[in-house]
Amino acid sequence: MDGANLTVPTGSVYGLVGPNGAGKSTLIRCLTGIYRQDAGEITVDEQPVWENAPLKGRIAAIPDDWYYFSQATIRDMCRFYRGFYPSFSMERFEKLKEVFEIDEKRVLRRLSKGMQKQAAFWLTLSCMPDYLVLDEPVDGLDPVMRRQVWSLVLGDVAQRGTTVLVSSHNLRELEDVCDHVGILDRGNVLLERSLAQLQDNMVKLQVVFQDGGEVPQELPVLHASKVGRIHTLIMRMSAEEAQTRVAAYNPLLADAIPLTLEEIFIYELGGADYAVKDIVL
Amino acid sequence: MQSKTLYFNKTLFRKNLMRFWPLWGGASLAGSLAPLAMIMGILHNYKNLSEIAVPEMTCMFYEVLAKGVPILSLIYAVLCALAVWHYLYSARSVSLYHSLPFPRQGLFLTNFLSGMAMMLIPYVVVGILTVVASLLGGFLDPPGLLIIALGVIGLSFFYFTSATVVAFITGNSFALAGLYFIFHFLASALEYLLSMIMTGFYYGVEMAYSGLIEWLSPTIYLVRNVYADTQTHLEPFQASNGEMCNTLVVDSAYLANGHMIAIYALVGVALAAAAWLLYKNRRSESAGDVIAVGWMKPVFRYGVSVCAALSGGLLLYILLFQDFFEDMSGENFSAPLMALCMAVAGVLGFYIASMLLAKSFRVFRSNWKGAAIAAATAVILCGVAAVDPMGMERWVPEMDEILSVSVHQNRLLSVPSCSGNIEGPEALQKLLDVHQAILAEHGTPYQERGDTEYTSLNLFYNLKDGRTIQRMYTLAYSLSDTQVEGTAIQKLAALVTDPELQRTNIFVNGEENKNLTGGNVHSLYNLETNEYESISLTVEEAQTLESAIMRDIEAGHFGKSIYLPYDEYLDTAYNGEIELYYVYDSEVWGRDTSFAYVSISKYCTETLQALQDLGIVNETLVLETLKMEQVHQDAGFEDTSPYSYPESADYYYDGTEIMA
Repeated sequence: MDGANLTVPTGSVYGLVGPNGAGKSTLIRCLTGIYRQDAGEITVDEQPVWENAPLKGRIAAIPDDWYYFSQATIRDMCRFYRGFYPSFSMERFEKLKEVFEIDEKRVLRRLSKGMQKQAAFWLTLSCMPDYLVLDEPVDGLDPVMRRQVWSLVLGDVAQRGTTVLVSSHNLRELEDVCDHVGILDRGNVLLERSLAQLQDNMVKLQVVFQDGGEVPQELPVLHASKVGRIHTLIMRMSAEEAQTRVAAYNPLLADAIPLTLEEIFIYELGGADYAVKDIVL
Repeated sequence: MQSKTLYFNKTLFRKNLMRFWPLWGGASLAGSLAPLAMIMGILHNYKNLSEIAVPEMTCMFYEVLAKGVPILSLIYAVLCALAVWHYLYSARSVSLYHSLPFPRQGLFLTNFLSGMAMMLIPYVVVGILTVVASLLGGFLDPPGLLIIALGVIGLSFFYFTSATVVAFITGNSFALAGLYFIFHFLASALEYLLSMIMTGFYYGVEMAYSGLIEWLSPTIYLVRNVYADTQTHLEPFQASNGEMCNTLVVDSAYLANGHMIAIYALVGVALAAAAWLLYKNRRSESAGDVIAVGWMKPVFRYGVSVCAALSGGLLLYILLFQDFFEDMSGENFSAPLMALCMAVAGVLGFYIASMLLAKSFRVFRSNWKGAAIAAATAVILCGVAAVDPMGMERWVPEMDEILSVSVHQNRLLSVPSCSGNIEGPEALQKLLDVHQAILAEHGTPYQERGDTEYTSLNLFYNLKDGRTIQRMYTLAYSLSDTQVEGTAIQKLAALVTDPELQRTNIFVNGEENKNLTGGNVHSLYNLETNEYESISLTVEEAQTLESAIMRDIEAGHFGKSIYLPYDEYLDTAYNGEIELYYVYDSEVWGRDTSFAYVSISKYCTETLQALQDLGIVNETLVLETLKMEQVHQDAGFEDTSPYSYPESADYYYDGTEIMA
């Protein structure tokens, strides 16, 4: 990490995105008290995380490569988690049995990757955490189960005020569930905003200029592409401001289209010399 | 349910034991076989164990504690440590453990106690079965049981804490096993290697290994120094033939140097504290690293380099520049070549360590400065060893440093050697004179002559500070030198006639209060039957001969023939031998017998006179010189005719010849 500064609002679903090697998993390990930061501080609810067992009892995490004991069944792991997490709910564990239709007596290592992921959700959600940290959480799950899992997580957010930090490369999915997004690159947080703010801060404008003219050089365009007579311009400003600026050139057409999270991610990192900056969308 | 305490989590404890039950279960099963066999033996009366005294059984159990438990615990501890600490070696598992809402001191303590439980369960199982066997056999000794239990706990604790420290130094399972065994034997191995190199450099230094730092290799130290012993007394009893004899009765058993186990257990406490500090500061990111502690990485790199320089350097030197089977002692190493070998091996070790640390083979360019330092260190180490900064080669002890000296002299021909112990000032001074003369003559080139012979002198100095220092010299000499005053060989020839040395040379078993009970005179040649005969001695005859032998010893007659020219020796020494029997009270075996074998020469005038006076040698039974024995043998044993031997031959002893 390199001076990363990140704030996750309580009760939010925070999407942590960034290219490979940006430091997302390292940051998550620091947040869950696995790694100790060399400098700075990591607090949850204004308390330091490192070696804070009562606080860590309120945090549950599903890492990218979830660990289970080699001979353990889900029931064994349930006993293990129950022995550590003070709010572990057997009632919820039993209820979730209906959602994750896996035989709890089966040895975990004999389950498929997706089923192991389901088991991880089953156990983690049974811990009734106030803070849920997920690293590539739905990787390996089928679409139906993805929806099911997100439904459970968002249900917890709505009913119990659970704060969720989720790191994923599946930006389309994050867009559906996150209300806050932070972009991490080379150990630093490039930006963090609410998804609405983020989408409001960047716009995709489809413009057709008079007489098939080119994009005026005065316009602050992050990226421009042209198909036929239609120019697609990415500009770092609100849709209203962009339309006002373009209107000065009397275009035949000027439509503002909201950017997807994926597009925002790519154009933001493009500014930071990200390797895909020249990819034409 | 979640544990309330932040120091112990019973879920984790139970999980550890349940996960690794094959380990402690297997160990318990294997360990149970011996006590089960004992129980079955008692139940089926296969073994009459009830006839064995309680202290003898306790002594046997102590012996298992002293010799068996350290070795078993050494091996078993690393397996237990691997079981409870292996989660630190994988990023996946360490993430689970360290994200748990349980502080590190709790993880440390719970896992440590789990490991200790795994260590002790097999011993408890074996202990219970042994108690059952002891109760059945009637040899239960509660105080002994308590000592054994404490010893087992102490050793288990020490070995497990040492394995735990190593487990926290590394981040890799294989490295744990490797480093653990290396650390346990490193001190002794290094001293041994260094002493082997010095042995090759220094004249007469046979083995410089002192064992001074052996305590840093606990298993070797414990196995060598802790032992079971008994307190005994002799009890008279009447034998079936009516004779009164003594039998040895074992009063009690004790564990000699048992306090060393307690000291190592205390060291274990310090190791446990060090382990906690290492664990507390351990970075989870170090999973998979060969060395997980940052400041230990250069120590590891250069440590491996030094070890490789010593072991690999020696091996390379022997393979490339020396006959593998050649004796390495005695100043036959070339310092420049050894320095070269050590530098090569040191650099190799340095790069291997660097590869292990970097987990990459691409270390050559980035580490060349370190490799140069490693090579320089190896050369300096070799140089320091070669110049003998401790003065080991020139060392001759002071008289007041010496407790006793064991002397072994051998002329390297078929001449009897002289071995004995000396501790009296007169004999010691003679010995030190020989030692100093040998060192003074060293370096003076010796010109081989026609009558050049070789003799060896092996000295074991038992010093008052507890050390044993060994020196071994091989001297080339001309027979005429034995007559030249002040030469080493002349002094050695004088030393071998010293009464104190000869007393221990002849009467090897110097037991006190021994009673002479008889003897034999062997290899007397019967001129009438042409056969060799042995004559049994009565107690009185044996006593007369013993007195005569002692007078010859005091007069310096024994050993006089050792440095004669070989032909002259054959003509002076007799093949006949006097054997004397003694009975004494042994502290170990009760009544015991010892023997003294006395080879005589023409110089032993007192003994020869006594043999003549007792009529053991006479006109018919004679002593042959070795030369005549050869003539005799050359003529052939098959022909028993007296006429087959030259009548003029001087092969018999007669009074005239003695006087001459």
